[in-house]
Amino acid sequence: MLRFLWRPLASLNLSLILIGALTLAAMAGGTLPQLRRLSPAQLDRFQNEWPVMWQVMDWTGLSAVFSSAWFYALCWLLAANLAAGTAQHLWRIGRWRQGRVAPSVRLAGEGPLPERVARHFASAGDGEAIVGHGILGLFGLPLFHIGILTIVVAGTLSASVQFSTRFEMGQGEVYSGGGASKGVAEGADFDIDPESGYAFRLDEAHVEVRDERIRELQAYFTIRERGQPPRQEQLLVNHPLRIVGQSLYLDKKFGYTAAFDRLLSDGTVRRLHIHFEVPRAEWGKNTPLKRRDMVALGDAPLFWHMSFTPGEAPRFALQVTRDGAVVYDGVLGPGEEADLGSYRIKFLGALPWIGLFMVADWAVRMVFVGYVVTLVGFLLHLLVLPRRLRLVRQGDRWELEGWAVRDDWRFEAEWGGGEALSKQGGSKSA
Amino acid sequence: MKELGLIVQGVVAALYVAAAVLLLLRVRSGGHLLAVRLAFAGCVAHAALMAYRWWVIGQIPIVTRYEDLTVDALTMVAVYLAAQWRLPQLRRAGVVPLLVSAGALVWAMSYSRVSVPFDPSLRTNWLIIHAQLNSFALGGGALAAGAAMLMLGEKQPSNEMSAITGSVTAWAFFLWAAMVAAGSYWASLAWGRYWGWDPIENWSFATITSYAFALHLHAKAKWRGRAWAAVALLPFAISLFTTYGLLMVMSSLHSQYVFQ
Repeated sequence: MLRFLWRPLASLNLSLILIGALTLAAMAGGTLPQLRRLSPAQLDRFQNEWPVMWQVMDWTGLSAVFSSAWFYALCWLLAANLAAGTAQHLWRIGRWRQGRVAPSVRLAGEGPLPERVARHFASAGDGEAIVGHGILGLFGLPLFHIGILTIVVAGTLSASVQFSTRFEMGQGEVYSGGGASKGVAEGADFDIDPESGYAFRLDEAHVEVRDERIRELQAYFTIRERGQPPRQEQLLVNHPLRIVGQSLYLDKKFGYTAAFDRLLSDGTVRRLHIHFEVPRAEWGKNTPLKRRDMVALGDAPLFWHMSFTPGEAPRFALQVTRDGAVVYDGVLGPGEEADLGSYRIKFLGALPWIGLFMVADWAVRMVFVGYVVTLVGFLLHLLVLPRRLRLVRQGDRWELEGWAVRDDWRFEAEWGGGEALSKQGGSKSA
Repeated sequence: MKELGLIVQGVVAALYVAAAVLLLLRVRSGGHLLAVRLAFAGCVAHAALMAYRWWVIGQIPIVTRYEDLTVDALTMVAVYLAAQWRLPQLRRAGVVPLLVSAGALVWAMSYSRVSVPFDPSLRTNWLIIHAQLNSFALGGGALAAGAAMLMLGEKQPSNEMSAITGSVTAWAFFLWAAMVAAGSYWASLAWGRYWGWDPIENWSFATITSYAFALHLHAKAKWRGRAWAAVALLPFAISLFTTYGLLMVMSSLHSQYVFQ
């Protein structure tokens, strides 16, 4: 029963069918509209313009190729085929090394060994002598296939364990994991979140945009991790920061923060930051940035209509309404206050903010190990050609057998193929 | 000076075409050596052109569509010249790399030659590693396609030619896989994810699997002749679409960098 299942599972024909199907699937997924890439408006438009095609795509899973059940089945069947084929390959390597497969070349003769045979064998006596080199090359393809299996397994793990979160931080803000709580602090005077074991403060954000293209994007952080002294780090694109097993990256979103002190009736003061995203074309131009939000601080929610002009002399135009009645309508400069009923706000000025995201994925390293193993294995297969020669001498007669891999055309050119027999001295060979 | 650059580019393309024509004609080996010399002369002038551009713009010229096409063209010819020097059996396989390179050079002329300073995303050695592996992969693929065309031109291709074509195809596969691996690692540094099923990632994956298909087919005893050679042309065609055609019809993460 096992042999009945094993042979088709390890077969080259199955590999060809599966690899061909995978190629077509990748092309389909890279060309047809995919749910994960379409915005709601784009999806709507496509469904209206191509209703029948969309139905067919949806039914066949072509609208979401890479998350469809058949794609997963294809990948795992290929992985099983790969594992079976690799096991079979390793068994054949063992047989090749023992000379238990038909040789690529066989020569025989009498008298002294021809020079091209003698140079491989130091000993001149009767008996058997074996030389082999490049045997490591035999393991190139199995290593390559093991690397692919590693990538498949690690990729599946990574998809299930990966966690990421996006957020914005203004200068002076502190972020700690767990509940993603944020606050504001001066310098390194902030607490570590007990659950996540870390907290970090954005000390400075530096953004430079010219001709609508980002020229500089950097951020400086003070990082506190449990059991370690505070440290200061610079975050650049392509150089994520490692914080307690997670990686912090720069997003390409940025803008200005309107900073306030919120003065409560009991005398407490809390910092309030309102972020305004700035389009690249507007960066540095001090164009008024508009925003409307329902702000639920204190007892009743207030509706804020905001217009914020950053720059050297920032201005914050604010109209606040509650249940349709205007609570406040004015323009604030730095140091000026507005009374909103249950609390007052004092406008402090403008600060830059940047977008960030954190990713936790312990399995990704296995993926990269898989890449390295795959490439090293295939390079070994390309560069190191295994060859094995066996010479048997008995008195005046000698017989040589040679083994090489199928596409070792240089070996074939050197030795010729097939058998060559000579009855009188020397050998008849190519 | 800009016009001189265009003229040199045109002359280089003409040298490549002349070399390809000589290789196509069934002349004695002397004619083929002349083809190699023409290709070499073109390659030297081409390299000088790219070195000059590098010096003028102050950064490696491998990002814009113009630079992409011209550097790939240079690498294709350089790979061919190195391979035929090592293996004279591949001399006549240069028809494909030379004609594709000439076509790339002419097409590049239709793109703006303006250069822009690198975004922060591109200021990393991984740009050079990823982009150059792409160029070398295309070079290997073009040479493999040329060798496959040679096989198609023979009534009964020899075992040696089949083995050499298989070997060159395997190198193209390796280089393409290395390019994708490098790009994936770079993506993990820049975007926090090593794979996102972006169109260009999908088609790069399709290119790898198409090469894998051709190589697995080559392992079957009955598929080592002209039929296999015809199949072996497909991965190169797919790689050309992935590199140059896809971004013309679809948007991708790469679009923002290539079409600056």
